[in-house]
Amino acid sequence: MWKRREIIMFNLFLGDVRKVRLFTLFLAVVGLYLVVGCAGTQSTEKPDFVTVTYKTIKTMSELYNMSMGTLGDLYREGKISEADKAKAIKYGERFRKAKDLAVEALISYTKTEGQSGFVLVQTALDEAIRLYGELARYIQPMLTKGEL
Amino acid sequence: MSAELIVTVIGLILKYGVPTAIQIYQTWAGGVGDPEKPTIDELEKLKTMTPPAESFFEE
Repeated sequence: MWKRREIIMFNLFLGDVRKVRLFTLFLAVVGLYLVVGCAGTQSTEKPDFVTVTYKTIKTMSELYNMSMGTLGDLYREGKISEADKAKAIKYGERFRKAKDLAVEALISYTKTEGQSGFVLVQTALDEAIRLYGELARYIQPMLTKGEL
Repeated sequence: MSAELIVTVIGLILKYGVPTAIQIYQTWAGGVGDPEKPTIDELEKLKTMTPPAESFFEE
């Protein structure tokens, strides 16, 4: 056993490319298995779903507040036009409404914990995430233009 | 929270998507709030956490 191990180590040390690649592949497969296994375990537990959804909404809300606050500062400094301001408000409000729907759905789900509520929360959250992405894509050039 | 960080976070969002960027941000910020399951009151607070977009542009 020891002899075999020495041989493997020797081969690795000498740079046996095939064995190194096999070893790397083995590590990657084990790593992937662990990641998928852990993700599966977490997603089936209801408390984790509520907590993760809550934290996601809270984080998005904080990012929204920071982003819009910065845009407001840039607007007052004259670095953002009225047209850009109007569009930022439009995208911001779209996100805010979607986020409010996700919060309502999450509150209902927390009270009832029904399967339909679970799907509703996921759908509402996906929409809020999509709209935050849309808002981020729109305001990013403005934030950069503002020479922060 | 600096403005540069917001640009960085938005850059992450554009590159990796919102969920991944949020995970990165949460890791950086050491998590947002308690890891415990939120109460109904805490969930209710989420409703008032985001002021209307127009209010950010008031003089």
